[in-house]
Amino acid sequence: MSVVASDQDQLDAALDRRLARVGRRSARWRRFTLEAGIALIALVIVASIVGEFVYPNPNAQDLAQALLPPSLAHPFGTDNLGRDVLARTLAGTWIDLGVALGATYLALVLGVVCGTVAGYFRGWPERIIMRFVEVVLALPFMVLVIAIVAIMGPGITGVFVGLTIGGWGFYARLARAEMLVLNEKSFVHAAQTLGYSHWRVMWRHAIPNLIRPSLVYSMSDIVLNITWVASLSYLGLGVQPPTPEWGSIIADGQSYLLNAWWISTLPGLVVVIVGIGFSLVGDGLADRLRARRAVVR
Amino acid sequence: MSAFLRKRLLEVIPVLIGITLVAFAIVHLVPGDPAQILLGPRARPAAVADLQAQLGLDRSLPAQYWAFVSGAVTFSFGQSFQFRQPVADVIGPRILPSAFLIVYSLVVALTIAVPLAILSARRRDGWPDQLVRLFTTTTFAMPSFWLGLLLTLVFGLQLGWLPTSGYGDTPLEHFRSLTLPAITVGLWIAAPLLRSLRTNLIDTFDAEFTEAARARGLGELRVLFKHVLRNSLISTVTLMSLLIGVLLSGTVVVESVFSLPGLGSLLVRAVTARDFPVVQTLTLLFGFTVVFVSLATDLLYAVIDPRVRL
Amino acid sequence: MAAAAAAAVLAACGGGTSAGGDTTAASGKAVDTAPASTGGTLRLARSLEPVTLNPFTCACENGSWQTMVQLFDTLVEFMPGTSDPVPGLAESWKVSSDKKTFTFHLRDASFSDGSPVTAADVKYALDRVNNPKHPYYVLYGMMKSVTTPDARTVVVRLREPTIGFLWYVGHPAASIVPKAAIERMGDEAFGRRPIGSGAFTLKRWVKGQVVELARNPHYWRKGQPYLDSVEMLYTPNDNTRTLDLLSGNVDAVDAVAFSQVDQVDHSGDARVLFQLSSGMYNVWFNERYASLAETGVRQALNYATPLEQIRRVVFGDRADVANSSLPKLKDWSEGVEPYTYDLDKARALMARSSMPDGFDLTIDFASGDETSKQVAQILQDEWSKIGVNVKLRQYDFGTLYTRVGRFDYEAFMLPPDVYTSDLPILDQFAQFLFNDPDVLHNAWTWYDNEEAARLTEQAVHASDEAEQTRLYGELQQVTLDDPPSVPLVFPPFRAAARSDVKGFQYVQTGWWRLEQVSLER
Repeated sequence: MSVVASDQDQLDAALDRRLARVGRRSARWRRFTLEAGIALIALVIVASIVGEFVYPNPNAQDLAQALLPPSLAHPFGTDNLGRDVLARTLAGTWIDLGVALGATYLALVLGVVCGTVAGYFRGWPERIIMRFVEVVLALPFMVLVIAIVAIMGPGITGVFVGLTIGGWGFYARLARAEMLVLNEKSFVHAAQTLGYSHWRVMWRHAIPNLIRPSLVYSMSDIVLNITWVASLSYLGLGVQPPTPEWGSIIADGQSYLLNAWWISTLPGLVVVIVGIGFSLVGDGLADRLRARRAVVR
Repeated sequence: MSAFLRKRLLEVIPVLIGITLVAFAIVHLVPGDPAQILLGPRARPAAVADLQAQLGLDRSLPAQYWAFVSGAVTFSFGQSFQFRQPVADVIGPRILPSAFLIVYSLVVALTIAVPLAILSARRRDGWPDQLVRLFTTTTFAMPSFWLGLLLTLVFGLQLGWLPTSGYGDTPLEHFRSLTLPAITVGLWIAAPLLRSLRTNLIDTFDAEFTEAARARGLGELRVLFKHVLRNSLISTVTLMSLLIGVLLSGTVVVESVFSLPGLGSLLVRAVTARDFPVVQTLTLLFGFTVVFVSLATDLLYAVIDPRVRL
Repeated sequence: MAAAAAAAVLAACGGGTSAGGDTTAASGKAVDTAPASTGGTLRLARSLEPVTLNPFTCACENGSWQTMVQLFDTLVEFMPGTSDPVPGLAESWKVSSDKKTFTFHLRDASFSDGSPVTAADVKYALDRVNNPKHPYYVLYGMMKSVTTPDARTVVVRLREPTIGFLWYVGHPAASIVPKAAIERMGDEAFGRRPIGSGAFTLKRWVKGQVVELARNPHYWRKGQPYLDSVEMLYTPNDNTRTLDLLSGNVDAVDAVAFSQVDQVDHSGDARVLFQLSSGMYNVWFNERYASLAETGVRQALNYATPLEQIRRVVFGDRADVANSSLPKLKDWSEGVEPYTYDLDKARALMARSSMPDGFDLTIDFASGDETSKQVAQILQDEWSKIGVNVKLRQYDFGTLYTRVGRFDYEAFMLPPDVYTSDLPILDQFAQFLFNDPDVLHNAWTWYDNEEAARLTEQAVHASDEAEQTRLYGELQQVTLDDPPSVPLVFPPFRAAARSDVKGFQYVQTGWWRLEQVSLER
């Protein structure tokens, strides 16, 4: 997995090529991409806030109204306990975005710091950190998460910790690769010559310049984490009922897919919308950061 | 070349030791008593204690770890607690279905991702690009059990083209049975592959040597295959090697939906039953695979791009 | 239709065996309802798979029993639609009037390797289960001696009168295997290549995938099995099984999800067959958890449970409200009134308890157990109305079993198909729930009711059948008035088969008699 050592020149070359190209790109779609992404995510968040008022209790059961198809009264239909699926989907927004964003960015921070330290100091800190990263990446992700959930007891905390521990290695790898490139750059040398402390060089000069690929990747990672939460719910390792959460709503509905498709499908659609939102933000962000970097230098 | 190989192989050793440690720690940290689970809740405490001794669970943890590691070195992984047969016999028959599924899925994913990425990169920011990205993002964000069931419903039940579940007995049946699962997984991993390939293609399309090739009057297709694709493959290969690691255990949901006898579902079952030898061996096997896939990836770079020093 | 006819005949036959004091069974002839066509392969998708096929190293769960009953025979056998045993390898039997001596006369049968079934083989099996470490020692530990006066006769003497012993020997844990073969092969190898006298032999077993059975040409029920072979496929996913059935990928499935029953029935291609199970579906309490030690509190929780609504919404009208913690088996009494949903009574009982303001209660259940998840959420809603604040926790089976086994829980639920009696009589579970105070503490409940323990002891060892029935009825009333649990429904098994499958049905204990199944193609 330590591909980075061998394709350092590759990265350098790619970087330069990208920088040269930026000016030629059309700006129209780029701006649209970022804003469309933010708009989609905002739409879901606003809807969930409105939902708080429209549906004060998303867990309210009405067994006489179980498994009703979508209608004006219940736009997403009702589930096997007669609960409004839209109400539960909206109420689930906070947990899902919270866990996905939290786990992703905690992993990002952890990974970027470790990766930067490894790439900056080289030598034994690098060896220790990167061997550790390789062990984490070599462990089957599912085993790691299932084991952590089992150790921590059922609930969303275990999922959160599991996703973080399973996820940071990739960021560490990305950050180290970028740091290796930066080591050769003049401004890092300049900062070192000026007698700045290592921490200051890393914090003020290195990290802002190496975080771009991690930020861009994190957008896919958020979507990936949302689907992992859903898969874990499918395996029964997630939030505890009746807490509304997208993964568990979709998983609960799966045994009704044949006769009440709406329970899984409509919340699934919301996940897809959010996923598209984050992907667009990721694309937009990539272009913006690229452009900004070109200007800075 | 050989110096590089030796260095890489030496680096692998601490990683493998780390994997055995973590694998061992995981099974012993997870609460739950294998003997109690095996005998079911109705078992008498005396019988549980008896079985614990029989399974060697009454030994000290270092002794158990030593038994695991020293066994693993000689490829003897002990007896599965739940199946009561050698671990190798439990895992062995499931390797092929899993490998078949992973390879098939990667092929499906590449079949989707490569042409679409080329289309997307050529018409960068145009509507085909937007459509392609919308499509893969959609399949990426879909929970795989949902997508799998949808495909089964349409192609298995409504149209009756493919079996709804199982693995079959002959190679042709395996191929037919794995088609829907492979499409399910392939659609999922096509998105990151496409994304990576597209970015790299855009970079190489714009690069000087591509311009140079065009200037030399080479046909666009020739330029595409000879120069652009080749140079875009490196990070895509890296990504694929990472995806193999994810898929080893990440196919568990698809295996469950399609009743496939793969390693992912075995792993989850073994964790549930606290089948320590099977969990440890599988974790080790997956770790080995990931480490060696990445080693192979490094070597592959040299083939794709001779400039890479080994 | 073959099943219905067979059931009727067998029920009549069984009635004969349980009538008098000294009993001799009717002849062991196969029920002659030959199907229109024979041959073919039955593909059966199951939610379970066997752990081992050696009856003596059992993991004691239905996935293994369901397979073993096709491979092995027992002295007597259970059939669909009746709780009385029919002759198996024992052609006839004689029970002494004190119900302490059972004499079995073996029929002329042979194992699939051609060797004859002898009294020595029977003695071998009974001696192996009569072992304090065996999970079913509760049942078999009462054998004082097993003797074989001749090669076709087995005499079992018991320590105490036990009417139910005739059923105990029908349990697949006491399967008859060739003594010479198993001793030669060892338990391990025998578990992989079992030899029995059952209707089928093991052709192939790919773990996690399929168990393939072929007809045993030596089978003693003439004309049976009708099928040439059976493929039992391991298909744990509920949706997949249903889709497999509807697409014709398989001929029959087990454990149809309640939510999918209508789907199957309306398809026109297949039909769901319901059979009352030997299972218990209760919310179980740990009485060491302070709030639950009081009878009044447990009664209040029973009154606060909308049984009728649960029956309708969760079980789609296909299950009966339970009037007993025990399963609905032989000697179940209809006369005991189930709890009625009455919040006023529940509140009054809570007010009189030591916790008038209510308490917190955590219910544990298995992840993947969708039925309990649904029921538990209804209970959470309902019990909050009497001040009981319910928290739900799903654990994987491993953790749940370990927690329960270590008494580390407040309340738990098991899936409706899991907590099943292996016998169609009450002995096993009554002892387990009410008369095992020292080892498993009355099925982990720490239920403490001396009258229940006494009634169980008397009922199991009664020497008169009418007396046994009366005692079990009394036990049912006593343990409902002072409930160890909240009994919910008597859950049914749900198998489904395509229209050309005949004679496929559950035995009440959770397995099938596949020798009676035929395909009409």
